[in-house]
Amino acid sequence: MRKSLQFGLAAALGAAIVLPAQAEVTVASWGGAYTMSQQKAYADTWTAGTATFINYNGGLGEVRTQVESGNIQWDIVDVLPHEARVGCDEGLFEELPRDVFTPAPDGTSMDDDTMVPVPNDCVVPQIFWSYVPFYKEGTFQSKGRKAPKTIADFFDVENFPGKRGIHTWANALIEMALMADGVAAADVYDVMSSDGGIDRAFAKLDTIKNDVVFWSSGSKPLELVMSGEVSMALAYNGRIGAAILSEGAPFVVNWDGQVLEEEWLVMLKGTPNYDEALAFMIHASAPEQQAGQAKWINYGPMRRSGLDVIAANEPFFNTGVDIMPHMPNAGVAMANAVFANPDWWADNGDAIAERFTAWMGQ
Amino acid sequence: MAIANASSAPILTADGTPLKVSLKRSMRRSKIQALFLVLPAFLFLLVVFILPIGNLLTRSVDDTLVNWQLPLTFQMIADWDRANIPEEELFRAVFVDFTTVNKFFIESNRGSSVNTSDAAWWVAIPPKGPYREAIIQINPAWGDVVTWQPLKEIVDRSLEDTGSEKDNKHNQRRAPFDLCSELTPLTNATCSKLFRALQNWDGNSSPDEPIFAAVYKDLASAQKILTGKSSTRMNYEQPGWKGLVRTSIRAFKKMEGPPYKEAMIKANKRWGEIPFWESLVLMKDNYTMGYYLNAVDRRFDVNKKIQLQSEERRVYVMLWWRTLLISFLVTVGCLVLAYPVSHLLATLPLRYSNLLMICVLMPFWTSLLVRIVSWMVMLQQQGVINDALVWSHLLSDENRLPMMYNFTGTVIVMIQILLPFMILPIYSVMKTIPPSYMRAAQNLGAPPSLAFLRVYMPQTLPGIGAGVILVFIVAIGYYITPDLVGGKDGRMIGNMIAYHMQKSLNWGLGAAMGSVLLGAILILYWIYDKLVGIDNLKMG
Repeated sequence: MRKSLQFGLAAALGAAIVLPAQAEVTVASWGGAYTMSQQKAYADTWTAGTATFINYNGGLGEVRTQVESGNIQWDIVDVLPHEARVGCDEGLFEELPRDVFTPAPDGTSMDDDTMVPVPNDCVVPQIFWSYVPFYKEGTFQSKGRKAPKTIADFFDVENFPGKRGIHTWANALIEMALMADGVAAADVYDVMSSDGGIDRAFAKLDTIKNDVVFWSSGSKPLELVMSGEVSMALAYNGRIGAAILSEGAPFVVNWDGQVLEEEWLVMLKGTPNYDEALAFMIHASAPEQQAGQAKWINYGPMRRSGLDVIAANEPFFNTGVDIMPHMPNAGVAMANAVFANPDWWADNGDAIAERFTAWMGQ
Repeated sequence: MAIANASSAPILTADGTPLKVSLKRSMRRSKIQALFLVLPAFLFLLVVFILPIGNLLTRSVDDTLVNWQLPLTFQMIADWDRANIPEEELFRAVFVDFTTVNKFFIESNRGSSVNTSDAAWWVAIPPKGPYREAIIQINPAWGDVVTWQPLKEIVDRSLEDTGSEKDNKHNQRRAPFDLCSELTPLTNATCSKLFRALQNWDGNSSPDEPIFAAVYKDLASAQKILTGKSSTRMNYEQPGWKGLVRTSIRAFKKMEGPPYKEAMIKANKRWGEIPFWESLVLMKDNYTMGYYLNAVDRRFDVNKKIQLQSEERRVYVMLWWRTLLISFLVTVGCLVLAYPVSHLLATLPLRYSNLLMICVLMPFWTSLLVRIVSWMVMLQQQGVINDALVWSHLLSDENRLPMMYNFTGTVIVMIQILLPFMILPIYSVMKTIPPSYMRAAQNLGAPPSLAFLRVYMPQTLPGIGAGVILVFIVAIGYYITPDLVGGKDGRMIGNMIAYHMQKSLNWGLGAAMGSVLLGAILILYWIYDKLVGIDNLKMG
């Protein structure tokens, strides 16, 4: 009863937001195939107005400048978990009413329908993406070795020779190093918070230190693996998925030990297009649109009901293949996986960043 | 007689004014004209250069925000013995600083001006009201209409019709921000409730309860933002503050009243850890040198003595040296490559030199990223050069040279990118040296090498100087190239500045590092001036 009441209320409120004839909102996102998927799933299906996507390089530097100077150019930004929390804490984002968003078909409110706890009232769920190891088919078999399966194999250059491509910052690497060192996924953050936990992670990283090639832009690890520069690399799962699904690249993903990160939409505080931006966010966070994004990229919808839509309509991907096996937050991919803990990183990220930079340079 | 007369009397112009006066007048006029001509350039410099640098320097030492957040704590922590967990009264100060908005109503609310014995600090505004009485008790000025009138003015101004609907809407959207920045140090807090309440106020009668309620609620939400920002700041000083503040704010709401010490330690055990309290001591002044120390791997200990940063976090000094080394190598590399090329450019017949010039400039017109990527293709371990070496059996397949994603890669790519900056000034100087000088020297018996060293090269020095300065200064602040090709040991200080400006949002540290970089460049410039003389510089 209560749920259906909520549903009715939400529908009424949603209808009550009256828009000018053609709303225009500007959304800052990451570019590439990812923005293309948002364009197709959110913007092209939005009849109430037009959403223009522009690219940015992440971080809140520009957002902070815009909000604090009052000269606001972006209405909505696509942010990482850490930024979603810091920005809301620091008052850079609008706090949004929660009851205007579309509930799941069974009446569950959006916040309860989201797979991780919603950290604050500023954010609207988007997708999960993950750091995940992958290699080119046949890399190891051709040398008469068996194929790597686990995260421990990624850190084992003796049995799985060749260089490793890793990113130039510490997120996910600490978690993966500990899992490779035998820590259970559920205990990773306990170990990281305990004395010596970080030392243990760095000791594990030391074991591949001499075989590492660093990358800093998302397309790089794919080139590194493709050209044979490295035998295995970590990458964003969507990048690998795009290469496999759309281009038929011979990559093999090892989901074991993946680290999942959240991706949220937020609205810049003081934007002149508040109503229009809110309407767009309501649209973009509805289960249908959440699922729709997976037609174009294999990032997992944060809302459970979004996953349900996909599972019920397979083959769902635009090329006519099943997408569920490529989703980071469903099925076998979740067997041994960690959700990154942004609160831990908020406390320790800066200190770890310095330590990691020092480690890289030694 | 007439001649003597003329020499003593002032010379007059045609219209009878003395020449001196007339000349002065026309000089002044042309001076003013000249001033007007340079004014745009001056204003441009002021806006895009001097003001931002001033802002940068301020940010690198500014610590006022956290002093707004914790006025009582910082005042009282001076008496803490710095050895044991503080006493109840300090815990109480922390509790009050985080849970009350009194600071916004009190005038002397920061740094050493805070008077902890002033009862105003300890007045508890009832969360559910009534607010008026309590706020006036904190600061009687809020009972005066005069205190409210400037705020009312902000509201009225924003409601004036500007004739454009868009501007009206914009003004009304900005007004709540303006109100809050009047009352707090925050530019991104919104006093929307106050904005609405003041619209209904006539501006003369004594403000009533709803207006006080509005200001209290708005300030409470502004305080949340202040807390968010200052906890970020506190986390720089001692990792863990962010989580401690976040969990404590939640716990504070459930605490009934004193004593706080035990309750707070129970809510989060970090309140019982000395390092957190020590870090507070370091933030208690409005200005801090902490960011600068951090930029050179130093930190203050609790007694404000400078100490080395803990070992695993020492990273910046290494990066500073590496940045200088890379810039130096890039400058030398550019000079060695540019000198013969410039000479060739300057001495070849025109139709060849034009072609060569295009070859020099071509990369200049090509996108930076394209050039970087093509170097990746060339230099990586599975790249063209390594393949060629392995194919020609100069290198075995296992020992391919690592030339990319490291120090070497950064230096090579940066040399290629910055080469035109060295070639062009040297070329333009060489172009002006008549070839007859060299011939004359050789005619007089100097061997070619001596003629080059004693006659030709000294004349090219101004161009070399300009090229060296240009390349070095551009190189020292580079960050995109090192980010893409630097890999493990080819990243520079610019990468860390970018990280702090964009990702960690530690603008204080980023600004401090930027200022150090600026200082380093100015010092190098000064040394250059002393050694070579800046008037010797020739760009063309």
